[in-house]
Amino acid sequence: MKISQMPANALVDFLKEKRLLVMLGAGGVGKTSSSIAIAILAASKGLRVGLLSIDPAKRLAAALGISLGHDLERITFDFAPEFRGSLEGAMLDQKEVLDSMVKRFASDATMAGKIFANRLYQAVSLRFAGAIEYMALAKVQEMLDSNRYDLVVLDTPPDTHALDFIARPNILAEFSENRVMGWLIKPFHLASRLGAEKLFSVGERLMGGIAKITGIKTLTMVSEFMILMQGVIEGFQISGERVKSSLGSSSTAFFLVCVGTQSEARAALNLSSKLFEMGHRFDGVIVNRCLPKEVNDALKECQNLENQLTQEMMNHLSQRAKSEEWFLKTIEKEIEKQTGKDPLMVLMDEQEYSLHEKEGVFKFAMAFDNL
Amino acid sequence: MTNWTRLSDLKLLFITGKGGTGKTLFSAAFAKEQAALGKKVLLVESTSLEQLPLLFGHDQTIGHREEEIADNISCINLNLRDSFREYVADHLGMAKLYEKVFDRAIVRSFLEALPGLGEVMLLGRLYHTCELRDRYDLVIFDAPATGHFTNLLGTLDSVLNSGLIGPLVAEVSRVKEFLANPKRCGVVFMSLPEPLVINESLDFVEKMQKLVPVQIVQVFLNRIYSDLAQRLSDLELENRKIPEQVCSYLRQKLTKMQISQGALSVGLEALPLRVDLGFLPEMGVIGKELTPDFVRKFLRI
Repeated sequence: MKISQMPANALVDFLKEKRLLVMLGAGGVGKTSSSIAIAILAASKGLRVGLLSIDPAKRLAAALGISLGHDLERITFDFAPEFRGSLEGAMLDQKEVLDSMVKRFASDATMAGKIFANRLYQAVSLRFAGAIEYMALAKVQEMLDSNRYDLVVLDTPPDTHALDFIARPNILAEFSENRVMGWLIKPFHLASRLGAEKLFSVGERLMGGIAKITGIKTLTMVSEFMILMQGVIEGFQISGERVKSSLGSSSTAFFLVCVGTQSEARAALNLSSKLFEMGHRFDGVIVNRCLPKEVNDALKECQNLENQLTQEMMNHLSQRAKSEEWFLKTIEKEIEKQTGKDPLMVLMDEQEYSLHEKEGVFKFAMAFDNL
Repeated sequence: MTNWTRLSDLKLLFITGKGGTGKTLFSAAFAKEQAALGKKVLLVESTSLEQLPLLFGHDQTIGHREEEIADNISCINLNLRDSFREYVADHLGMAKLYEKVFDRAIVRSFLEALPGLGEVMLLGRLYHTCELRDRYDLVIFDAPATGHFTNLLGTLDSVLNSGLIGPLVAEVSRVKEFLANPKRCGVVFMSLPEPLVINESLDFVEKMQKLVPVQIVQVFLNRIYSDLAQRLSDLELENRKIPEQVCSYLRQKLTKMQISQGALSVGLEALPLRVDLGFLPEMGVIGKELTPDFVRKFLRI
């Protein structure tokens, strides 16, 4: 476990200066585990930390003893009495999220009731594109506004395009500019309710055409659904603007979580460029599952062996070590080129942590600290 | 065991698994192998960062169109927006109207607000390519990772359960029927010899058997060395010639592979529906372009 080339406590000092930390990266690289670890580390240093996580496998929530939902719960570590930190966490769940958004943003209880009763809503609510992201961002803004936390750590869903998550407030703005509702849905809805035979606007004609193939009843149902949901979506719009501003603030940091393999390299570099184009930048990189330094060093002393199977494994290890070194140099250089600053590089060794248990998670978190 | 004949007899293969398990590599390697046997193969991905063409030395972005990238191998990167456009423009014959009304932002918002619509269009596009265009002998979809994949395939049932009626819904029904046909379509699930990955793999295979209409035909444990017991004993014989740190590291790795193999095997046997378990070897760092030699070693043919 080591933090390469960084002065002692650089990571913690950095975290103390920030209010929001957004963790980005592809699936399968340890993003959720790292988010939790950073949150625990910061809390152990005296910060009041809020953690918002999205764990599709539900295992880490279970390990930390948090139930699923959007209410923040205190996380304690009874086996580590020296931990005096304040850590609260919430584990967002897709299913529960949209329902709470409806309750919160629908214009009144009757409207909310109508939405819940809408059959289309019941069928598709699990798939509502971006629900969990919207909720997460709304929650983050709430947490920042509450002044209850020195640092908010935001995990992001693994399977979305990471950047769509950040772009959410913008996407919502497009919708709310009444283009879809104003041009397409509302006129069509009105026309079909009036039993209008002639559809006048281009939008109406298109919707009419679509209605022919999808079935007029279908499109009517859909348009009703969208009109019901409009209030909910536009309700979010208000906090969406503020979230956009929080994301752009200098007290917000972005960390890239990745592993040092070949295929990762391309994805990580791509993410870094795209993030930069959006006006943000990576402040740090957490590279998980690194080849332990002592193994890497020892490899250099190896001679060729006659035993083929063993030699093959040694060759693979050497290739991997080289590939990892290249990756680390490249990602560090690339980010420095974009941002003008050296990113914090946190290298976590490949280790067995029993992350399904609280003790294991705590141990992993403490490994981020280079005392 | 791997029933390679069964895999190659299917029309549409979905390759899924947790992030980093080797979906893209397997998709490309299997495509290359089948193409060499004379089959016309279409490789499909749906992503913001294309990976498949690179494995064939093809540097340019392909996008939402079928482009030949090697002998007998074409590639396409499907996206929701273009699937929707094709449906409206080609299927409905409303290309001009579409251009007038739907600009990029509107389509994006429209698809955002109508959950599952884009996904249904994408699956419909796949169905058309396989069944109605008949240009290819085999279509391999380097699919998204498990969570996203399960959601994607689940959109069909969402539409069918929503109370919507009409021609679109009838089409969704046909698409589902095609996907559920075990003689036409199958899912290949990739896993790795890591405890967390094994656990999640077992969870997901079970979940997918309930939520995904396509049959899971094969699970692969990827990046696992063959002859684990032999390697462990060879390692002991060599241990004076290898530094202790390296020896101990390799020993741990091999043992972990043995445990993972056992756990996955036992877990799969406990499932209500049977799934074959196959093994793919650790290949070290892969070169930029796939070679026939690599494919032979990887797929062990």
